[in-house]
Amino acid sequence: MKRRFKKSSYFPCKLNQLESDLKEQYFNSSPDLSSKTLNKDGKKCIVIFIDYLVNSDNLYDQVVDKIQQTPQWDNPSIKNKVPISGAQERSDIKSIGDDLLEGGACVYVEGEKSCLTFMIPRVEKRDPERAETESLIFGPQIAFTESLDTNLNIIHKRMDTSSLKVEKFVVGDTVPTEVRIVYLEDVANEDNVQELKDRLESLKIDDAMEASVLTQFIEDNSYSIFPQFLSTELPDRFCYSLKEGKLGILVDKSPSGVIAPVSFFSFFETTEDLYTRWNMGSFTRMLRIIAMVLSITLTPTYVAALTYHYEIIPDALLVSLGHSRTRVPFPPLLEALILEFLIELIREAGARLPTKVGQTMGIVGGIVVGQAVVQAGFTSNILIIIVALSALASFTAPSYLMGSAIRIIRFPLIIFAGLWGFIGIVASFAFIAIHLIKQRSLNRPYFVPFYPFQPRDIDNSIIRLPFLHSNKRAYSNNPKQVQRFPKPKKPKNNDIDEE
Amino acid sequence: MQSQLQIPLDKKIKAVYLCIVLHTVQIGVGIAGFPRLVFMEAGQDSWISIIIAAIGLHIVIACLVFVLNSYGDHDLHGVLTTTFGKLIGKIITFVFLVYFFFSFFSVLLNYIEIVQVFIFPQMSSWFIAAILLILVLYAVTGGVRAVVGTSIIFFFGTIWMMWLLYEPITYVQVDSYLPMFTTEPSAILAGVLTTSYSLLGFELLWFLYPFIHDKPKVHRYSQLAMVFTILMILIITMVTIGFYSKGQLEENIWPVLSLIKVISFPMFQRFDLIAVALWMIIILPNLILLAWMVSIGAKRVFGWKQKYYLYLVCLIAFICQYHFDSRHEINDLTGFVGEVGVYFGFLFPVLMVPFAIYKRKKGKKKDNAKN
Repeated sequence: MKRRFKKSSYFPCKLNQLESDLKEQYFNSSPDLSSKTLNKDGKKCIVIFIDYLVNSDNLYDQVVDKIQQTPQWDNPSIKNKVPISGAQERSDIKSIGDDLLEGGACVYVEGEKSCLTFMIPRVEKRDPERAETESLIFGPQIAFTESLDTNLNIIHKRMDTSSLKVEKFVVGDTVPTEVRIVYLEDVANEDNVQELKDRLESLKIDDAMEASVLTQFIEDNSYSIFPQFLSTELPDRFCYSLKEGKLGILVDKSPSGVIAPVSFFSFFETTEDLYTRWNMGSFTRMLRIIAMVLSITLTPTYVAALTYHYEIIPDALLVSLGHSRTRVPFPPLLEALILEFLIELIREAGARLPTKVGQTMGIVGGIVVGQAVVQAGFTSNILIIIVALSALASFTAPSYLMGSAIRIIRFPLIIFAGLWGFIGIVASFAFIAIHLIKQRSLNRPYFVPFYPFQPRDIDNSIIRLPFLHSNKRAYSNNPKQVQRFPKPKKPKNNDIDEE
Repeated sequence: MQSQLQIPLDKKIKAVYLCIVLHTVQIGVGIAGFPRLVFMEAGQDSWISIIIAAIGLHIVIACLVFVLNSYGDHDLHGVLTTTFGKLIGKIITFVFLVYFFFSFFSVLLNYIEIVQVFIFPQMSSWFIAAILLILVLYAVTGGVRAVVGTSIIFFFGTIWMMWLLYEPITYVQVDSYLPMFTTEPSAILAGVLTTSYSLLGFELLWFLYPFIHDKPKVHRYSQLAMVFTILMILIITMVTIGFYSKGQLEENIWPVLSLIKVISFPMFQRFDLIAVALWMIIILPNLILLAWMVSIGAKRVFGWKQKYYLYLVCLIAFICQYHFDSRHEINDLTGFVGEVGVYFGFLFPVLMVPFAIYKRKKGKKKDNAKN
């Protein structure tokens, strides 16, 4: 049903009429509309607002009190006296109603030709807290919150530079949501910025909901299991990526920032690698990548070897493996699937339960069920080790989405290994590799630095070299300035013990 | 001009990749059986055959790049149509495409056979073919970027297997190479011919050339790729000949795969099973590049969309593999493709050189006339 509002000619009107019209025409007789009528020297004035949307301190101290102090009641002098910026003169019900919904208070002095609105919204928000999903051992622990203002505040504080550019978009027709693109103007590649802007502008959706939902609308390939935009809750990760020439997206009401374009290997990096020394950082980065590979190969290899290729199992191991599998009534494929499924169950249950119960869940699920499963002859000991190891390995991925992707790809791999042995495994790996090569992130290659082969980017992607040697931004992002800082001069090549 | 290809810059690739792409299209299923074939012709002096073939190869590549450079931004179809006119150009390109399709098909059949002999005797051919063709379809639909990308990634994914030769090298007996220089020249020449079969694949350059971003470097990198291929073939052949005794080698159809049987790791008792499965990653770039060549070539000759030709190629290959199931047939097909390939691959570029020189001279005259 479309309501009809009288334009411009509405004012002047009676105070009561304004209130009842607002209530009935705009708010559908909502009980939340409050008002206060003031009297002075025979003049009457009404302040209308919605209880829970305005900051009551501001309302009484800055609006009502100031109006009462005003010697002469008319629009210009009230506007002058009330210290709240951005007062608007409204002359139709619809725009007044819109302002009230955004946390405004409307002031109408009887007989005036328009009505004043002051924005005094009350925003419920939490303070920034420690990062939960991407926890760090050391380094800044602050995390983004649901409030866009707070997030922008944190970013501006971290990146105190004039080239930081923030652009505003509004996404969503039913529920408009504010979206900001953040980037360093003198570093970020213009094509990337333009591409992202185009995607956001051409987006026609009802509600962006959350950063991760918005990401799914604007990413390159929605059918892929691999995330193409990196979402993080760590402002330092976010700012570091901006400094590398990437673009950041912030969405109001969402506690995560989104980074694009990213490569596959970005999902295995943490800022902690930068805070630790370079050799430790390189080690942990490679550890994570190896863990990822192990996590998706171990169980399929077990299944393939036991089903078809027992020849590849070393003699010594074959005996103990055979012994532990003597009581297992299932084929290896079924055995592995049952156990993998069990691990996923424990993980999912642990994630859904409150923290206190979650611990008990871990003990019950992990130790009791694990023991019992082996003793009951459901699975072999060795499979328990392998499955636990690959589950452990999949949790090393710093990005939750990537970790989940790895855990899920394991299932088709296990099935193919069970059906066609090593041929199945190799074919699935080839498929994943082709998929990663075809993938793009914001029209940039996803599998960089391997393809397109960028040896210069390896210094800060798969490994991390000392900062003195890796003074360049990744070439794959095509940054405007490649150098982050000038390379320090090498000391003269002195001999041992020479000055 | 119609035959000139217009390719957007972001679809182009760097010439450096030729180094690996040309190498991956040359090395494939053939290398597994090659040492035996060349040994049967040239005996312990096979290395001389390989080196003579290598010299020939470098000359042919020089001719090929010379021809391509003199025609500008053209692929095979463009070169032929500008030289011989539309009809003849299209016919010759089509003949080339048929040849490429047969090499695609023979790679497919040979790998299927290897899998059936080494790992799964019961696995049906159509099934392995289906797996491979699905992967080929998926990769080629990604365009030239994905095609080149897969061969590079798969190359890095398999090149470490060269280290597997380390253990066989310790078993090499120097006696196997002796006596040197005793083979008849005719036998050596037969060896050269055998070697040239397994060097085929560089014809890819005919179609990839317009997609290369920095053309002046094409020659350098394609020659480098050839050096790389020759070295690899030479090393593998020498190790194989040194490792086996004469009689053993002649009885082994895939001596390189059997070579890997001696390798065992603490985790893997027999590595050869894994190696045969991994061989898929070595031959996939072969199949992908060949399928890409056939489909883009067909598009250039007949028009229509490239993807339809791709589906057609895969479909025909899938249907045809039903009719090849004995070792003999596959062998005959592979031998035939190799023999024909010598003409298409080695002779054709050399024959084109006079036309290229003529074209260059004409171009110069035109330039002079303009000035």
